[in-house]
Amino acid sequence: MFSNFGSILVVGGGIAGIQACLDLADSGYFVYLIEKSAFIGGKIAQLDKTYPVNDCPFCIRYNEHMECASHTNIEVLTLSEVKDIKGGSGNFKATIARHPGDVDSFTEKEKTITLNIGSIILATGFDSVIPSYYDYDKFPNVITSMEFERIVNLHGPCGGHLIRPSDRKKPKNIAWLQCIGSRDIQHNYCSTVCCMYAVKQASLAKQSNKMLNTTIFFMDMRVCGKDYERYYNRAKDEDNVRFVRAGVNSVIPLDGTDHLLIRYADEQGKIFEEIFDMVVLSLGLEPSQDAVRLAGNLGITLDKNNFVETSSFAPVNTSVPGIYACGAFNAPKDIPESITEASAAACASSLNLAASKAALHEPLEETGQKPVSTGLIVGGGVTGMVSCLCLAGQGYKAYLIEKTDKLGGHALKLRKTFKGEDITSYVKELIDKVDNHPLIDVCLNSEVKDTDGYAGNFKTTISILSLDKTKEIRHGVTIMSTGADFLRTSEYLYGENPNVLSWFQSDKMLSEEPDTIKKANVWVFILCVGSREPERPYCSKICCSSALRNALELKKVNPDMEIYVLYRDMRTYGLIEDLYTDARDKGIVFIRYKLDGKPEVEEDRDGRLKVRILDNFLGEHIIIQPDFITLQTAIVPGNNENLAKLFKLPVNQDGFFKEAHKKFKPVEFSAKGIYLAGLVHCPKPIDEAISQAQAAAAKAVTVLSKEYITTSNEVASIDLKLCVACLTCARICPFGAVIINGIGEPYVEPAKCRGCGICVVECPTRAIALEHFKNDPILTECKAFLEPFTGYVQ
Amino acid sequence: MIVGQQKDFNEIKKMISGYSRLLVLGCQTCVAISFAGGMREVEILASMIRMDRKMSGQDVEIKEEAILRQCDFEFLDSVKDLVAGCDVVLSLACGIGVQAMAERYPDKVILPGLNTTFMGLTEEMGVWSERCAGCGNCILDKTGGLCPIARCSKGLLNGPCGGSMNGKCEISPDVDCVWQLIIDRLKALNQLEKLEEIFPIKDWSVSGHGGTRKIVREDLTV
Repeated sequence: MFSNFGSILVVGGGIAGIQACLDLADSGYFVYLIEKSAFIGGKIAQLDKTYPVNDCPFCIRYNEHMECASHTNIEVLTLSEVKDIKGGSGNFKATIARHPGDVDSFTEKEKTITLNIGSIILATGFDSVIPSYYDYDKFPNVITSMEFERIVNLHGPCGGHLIRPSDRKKPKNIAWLQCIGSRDIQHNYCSTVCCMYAVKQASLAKQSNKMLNTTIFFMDMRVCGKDYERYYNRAKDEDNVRFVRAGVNSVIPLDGTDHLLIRYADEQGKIFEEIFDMVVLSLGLEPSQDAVRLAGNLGITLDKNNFVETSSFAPVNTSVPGIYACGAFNAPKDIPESITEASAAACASSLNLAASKAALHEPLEETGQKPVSTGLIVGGGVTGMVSCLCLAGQGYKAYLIEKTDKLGGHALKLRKTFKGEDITSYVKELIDKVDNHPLIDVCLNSEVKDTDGYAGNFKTTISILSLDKTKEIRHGVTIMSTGADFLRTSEYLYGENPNVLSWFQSDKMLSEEPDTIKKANVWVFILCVGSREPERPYCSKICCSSALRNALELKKVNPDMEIYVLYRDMRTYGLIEDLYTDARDKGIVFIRYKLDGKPEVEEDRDGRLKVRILDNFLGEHIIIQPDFITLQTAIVPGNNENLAKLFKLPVNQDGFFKEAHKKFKPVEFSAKGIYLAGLVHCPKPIDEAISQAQAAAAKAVTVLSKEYITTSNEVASIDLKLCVACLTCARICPFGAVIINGIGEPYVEPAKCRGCGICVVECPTRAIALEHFKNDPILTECKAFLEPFTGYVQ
Repeated sequence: MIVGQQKDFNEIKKMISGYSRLLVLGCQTCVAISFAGGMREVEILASMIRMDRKMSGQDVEIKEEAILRQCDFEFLDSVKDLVAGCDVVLSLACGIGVQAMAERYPDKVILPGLNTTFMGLTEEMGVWSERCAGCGNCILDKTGGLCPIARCSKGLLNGPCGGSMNGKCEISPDVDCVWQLIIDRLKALNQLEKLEEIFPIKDWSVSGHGGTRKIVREDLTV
């Protein structure tokens, strides 16, 4: 199926490139995938298990890789490189060099082909930083994190046995050194993923060998993704991985042995020495040199670290119209964010080509087998509005349901992004666009009352509270973007002393009361208020950057002000590290506290504030008397219970919606046709929420653009002769796919059934079978397989 | 429906020890719905027995089957050959099914794999509770559709007793006081005056205390 409206070039066949290809191809676009190596799959093929799920990434992504290789809308060109690109958005001409691939044929020569394309997506990924220090090459037992992945991988060179390179013996103690090639003078950014992968490597190594000693030397533990904090806590408390907050200054080989001596300084500057069998360097990420060269040829603006310069409001757009970038070329980032950006880039590039396509779609009212080409977006914050515009921009009708009386959500309270972009005017512009778009129908003061149906054909009743009436909407897809809330704390005299402010109160003060700020002498920021606590064991992700940005702005308004930031781990991940460097340069004082030694805030008789905190460096308590205290309170989930119940969607233990797969399906639910985006998924900054909004829209279009509603063959079927109508299947089906008809017979709706098999195992009379996974053939296969080993006959 | 509960595996093991050819026979009606004796439980129990015998080095040959109802003789005939080929039948039916099997196959040892627990309903997946005691003389019309015989720990007819506290029974804070529920419901139905009628002494003779019960309907007998 060749498209009529232009094709797209995706550069880079790693996880992001593959995802972008699939989303585009499934929406009806033709895609060329250019990969410089001989295989698609990228770095993921080299990795052992992935956090926080401990799944094998290659197994989980196997289907996607195969689909990409065989999709009729995708042409994969391996051993290929982009030589030149001419033209502009909507009409690019790319010259591709194809290197000879057949090793048996020496006659094959490099070929050059020319492709006509409408948009380009750069998904070139990252290279590991190889630093010159730590003598990585000289000592065999100093290895890189990627080498460690290969050693412990079952299919790696050591067959999954953790042995050290010098003598192939099992090491007794291993050290991980963090921030190698990150947060240094050459790479003044945080590579984002190293903390978590080191925690994973250490805890899995520890789980397979309890006698092993694992130590991670780190500066700040930056585990800000969804469920990462829990994973870290488990490594610390259950697996007994040792965490040492220290700066390592040298790794020295011990004469006559293969052991390594590590010399490090603790927080008070005291020097220690310890001996290890093996040292793993947690290498940082940098853009690949080829990608930097290509970006240079294309005239794409890169930042000082050679990452693609993007705006928080258009996180996948490069400086050149029609060219988009996703994944680790934009900034160091983890797999879920890369996959999200890949889908977002797919969305952005199809929007770019949609001008010619939009005319093809007319909103359908009656369905038959065709999907209803309408989207329902629940929640009218930034995320919901962006998703709406993405759908409407591609010619689909969108209903936006908002429970309050205005659009904008919490973003109305925000002023600036960490990069300093103006959120207020962005939100205003967004609301204008949504209000004036002919294909977007905004329902304010509205709530979902009831819903039924399946991907391509949903029927939802909403109640419009202000008018006291209901409205029925038919739609093909649903996007949940109901956002989150912030914690109303009672800690640190909040609500008692007027000078103890929430983060948005101090944000507001910055814009409205510069005179008050000029008069203030001392300001204290307290981080992790309500986050990373036993009752809320997750990181709210945005507090560190928002505190630092406000602190820097305070400093700008009043350079003489003393500012103290009381933190637990400074989580300025990725490019946000800039703010941290800047803040320290400007003389902002950082004092770390522990959960069991929280700052104490008191007020004297005149209401003057006093903060008492243990300074780790001095080893003594110090007292600060601030004029104002800003509390960076936690992001907490909104009330998702009702929506979860109506749409049969899972919620995680923290109260956020649970996506289909934490790592690889960040914006999808297990139920087809329903997607999630923004803070309803977990706390995140605005740029990540926007790329999720675009990604969710890209996924939605894969359903809406289909000519017919497709169902899988792997669905449950019920043998009515055996069924006793016990209702078990109807009660337990997570997708509401089993319906009991008027005469007590259950029926499985194929479009809703996801083939999970829960009803099959639970059916007390064994009346249900999953097509393609029936007992008899599988048991026969198992028996045939086992027979030669065990003589098993039954 | 009749709610059953599978016996402790050790008890079952003891019961079947010495037998090497077993038929595990489920019933696909009430006890299937209460996840005690349907085909699913037959498969699981048979596997457990096989594993146990394998671990202790004993041979066993197990056949697995479940029939629509073990409480009707007609259905029992369909397993005639399977019964003939085994030493013992481990029945996962309620007590009625076990007895029906014993009556139909007088030469065979029939063992119960379940305890027949009560007549009740599925409150939600995995939760069952008693609703009827089969007393032979229904009074639900007077008690707002809630049975004090089955659901009051003392079976009181003119309750509640002094042990009713905050709507819960004195035997456990997890047990609702049914008399509280009766009062609440009658109040909601505006029928509280029904409680002014005093229940006379109940005739328990129809409840089995007068001997095994039997019904003969001459209009139906053939």
